[in-house]
Amino acid sequence: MEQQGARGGQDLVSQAIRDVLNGRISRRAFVRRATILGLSGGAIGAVIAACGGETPAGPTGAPGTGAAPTGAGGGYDPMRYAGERVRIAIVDGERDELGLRDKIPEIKEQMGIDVDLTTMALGALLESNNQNLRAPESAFDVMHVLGFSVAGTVGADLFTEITDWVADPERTPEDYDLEDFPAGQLEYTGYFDVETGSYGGDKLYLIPGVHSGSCIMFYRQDLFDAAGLSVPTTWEEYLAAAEALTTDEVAGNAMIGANDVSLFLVDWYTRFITMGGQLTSGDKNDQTLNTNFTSDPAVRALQHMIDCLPYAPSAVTSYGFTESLDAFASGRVAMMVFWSTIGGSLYDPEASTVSDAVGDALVPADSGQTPQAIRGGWGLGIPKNLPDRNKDVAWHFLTYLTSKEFEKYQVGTYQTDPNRASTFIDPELVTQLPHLPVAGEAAESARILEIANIPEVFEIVGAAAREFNLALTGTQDATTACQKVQEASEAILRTGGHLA
Amino acid sequence: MRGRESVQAAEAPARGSPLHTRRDIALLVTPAIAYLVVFSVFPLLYSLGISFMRWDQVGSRFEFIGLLNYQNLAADPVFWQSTVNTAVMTVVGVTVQVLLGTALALFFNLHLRGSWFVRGVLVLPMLLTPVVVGLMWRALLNPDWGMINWALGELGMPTPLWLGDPTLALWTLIVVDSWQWTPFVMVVVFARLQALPRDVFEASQVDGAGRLATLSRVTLPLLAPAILFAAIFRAIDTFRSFDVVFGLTYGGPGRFTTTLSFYTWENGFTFTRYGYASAMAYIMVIVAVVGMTLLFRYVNFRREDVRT
Repeated sequence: MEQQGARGGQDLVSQAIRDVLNGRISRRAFVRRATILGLSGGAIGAVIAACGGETPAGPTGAPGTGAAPTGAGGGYDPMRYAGERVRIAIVDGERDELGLRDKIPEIKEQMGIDVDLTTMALGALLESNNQNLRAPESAFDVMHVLGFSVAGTVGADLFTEITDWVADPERTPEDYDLEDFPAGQLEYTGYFDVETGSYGGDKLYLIPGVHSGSCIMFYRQDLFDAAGLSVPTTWEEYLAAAEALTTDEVAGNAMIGANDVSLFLVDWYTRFITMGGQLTSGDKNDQTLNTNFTSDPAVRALQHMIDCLPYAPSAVTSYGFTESLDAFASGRVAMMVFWSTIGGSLYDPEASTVSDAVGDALVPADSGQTPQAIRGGWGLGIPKNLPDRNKDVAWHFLTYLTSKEFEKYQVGTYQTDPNRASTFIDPELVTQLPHLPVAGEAAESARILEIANIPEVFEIVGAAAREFNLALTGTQDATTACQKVQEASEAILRTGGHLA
Repeated sequence: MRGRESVQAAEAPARGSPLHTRRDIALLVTPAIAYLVVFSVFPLLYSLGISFMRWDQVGSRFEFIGLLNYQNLAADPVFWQSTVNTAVMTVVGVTVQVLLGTALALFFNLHLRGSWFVRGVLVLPMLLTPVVVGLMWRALLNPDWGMINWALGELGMPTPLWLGDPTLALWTLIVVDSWQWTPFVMVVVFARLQALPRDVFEASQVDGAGRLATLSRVTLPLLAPAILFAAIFRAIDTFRSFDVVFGLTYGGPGRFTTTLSFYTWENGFTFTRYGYASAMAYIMVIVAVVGMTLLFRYVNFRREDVRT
């Protein structure tokens, strides 16, 4: 029976390879199918490379050089704004600024533009963006916009619409390929409907960058093989595997258990939506928007986290980003759900003692539910309160910063998650970062946080993180924690005018 | 005529005086007044005005709502928990710092060999910025690889979650704050000790007073003004604690280490609810002013009591 199953699986893989080589399915569909069938990232990349046609490096530059786009044939001139200066503010601490910092001399050489790069911690950047967008003139020509803050900034009609610019052959290189960005990511950090205050629409304000991504599951392939376990695809299997893999030296699982927004965004929300949860009901525009923190999936999601605690490191309720990553990278954890953009370092031998034993997969999901997690990421945009010349230079610069070539350099050198679909399946990058195809699939199916389109999103997420943290420390049970969060969020929604 | 001239001569400043007229005085004082108005009075009045407004920058709302912010504060359980946390941190923390700082000052007043070096080392924490102290101790107290729990583990002792346990986190915060600022109390009291008149101690020796009696009836009463000064300073600083909370616990777990300053900052700069944050800040100003006024009245009352 097992041999027949294995043979059947191999046949499906072979069929998928034949289909993509013959053009019967797209490369994207092949990646999705092959990942589900368990084909390794390296093999996937090799097949894609064998398909030929447009290479991941793009037709205008050598792979990984970040060469300036030439845009041959469209009237685009890389040196059009030579002698100008562009001021950009990027978040610090997420490695987003590192690639740009390296390429500043190259930008000067190939485009003649001087780049003033300012980096700020997340909180400071959010404040800076808010202030600069409302000043008489912004101090920055390009801003880095967190997805959760899009509604409050882009939604306040403070960014320049760039829909027509992308299609303008004189402004944008011919090979720019806006459609290379996943539709879901463009909906989150790209298009916005200012009239209704909702994501998406037909007006483009941001370009996804410098990193995007969702959450995936990282696990120790060697421990699973030794225990004869299959990679969990449901939350019941996840809990069972955590228990089975827990030893004196290794915890079966880890999570972000500290009073940290990622407790909510990564661990709780992933469980919640894959258990069938819908975070909101109603509409903010008619003051009926409300949250569903007391729903069955909400309580079950938190309870599942509590159930995982005995098979997690003893200090997991103090774990933030760094602690979780350290625990896995040092070999003390068997599996965890984590932001894919941060997980890249797990494959770096200099940063991880288990770099050759890491496996990755889509997050578990209840039967009948889609394996998906939160949609993360940032966008890059041009404030409205700038002279026209500054806007033109800013867009010219952005065509470089969001190009395929630069993105490949950034991802390959600093292991941040790509924004472009083609980068997720680049053969060279997949060899270096085997989790990329799965991360790409996760990015395609990721869900935008339902409350991301209201300014009070941080308040509600913060309130939830605090109460959920107290539930993990045993101070209150899951039902009480969810009830408290529901009460707090309703108060916040009423104060914000979204709930009557 | 002669009388008027004599009056004018009497009113004219003496020859060589730098302050020739009231205009000169006004010119010299004006910069200081302008500085106070611009950087103290105006912000105070402006934030008072904002405290009566609903001003959510992200939502672009700016409307007069009267006392609603203050009413909401009164009904905000997080505000009250922050108040309790701040009160505990101030009272317990300052008490620890004063007792320990005074004891250290008395110890170093013995002028044992090498005490100058130890004193210098003990003062070092005071030179660090509080947020750095918070981050440094966050690393030291890391439950997996921090030195503290490692050492405790090697000694076979329990390794608690110093920052993750709701029953421990606030006390850990107080310990860290005391670690940094006890040297301040020590320096102030030690300086005062060096300035105490020797004849009082000689007289007490002549009268046959022992060490304990000298300490309790001579030394400490003479040190009282310095101790009180240090206590007031530390109380004001601890009441405003933000940096060490931000670096060490970020107000968690839950709200167990959220102080008034931290909650004010959170409302103002994370949630951009400037009106609400301004109302909270004004409550803090009122509490601080009332507290200091009562304290100084008590000090003056005690002084009068001593004189009579």
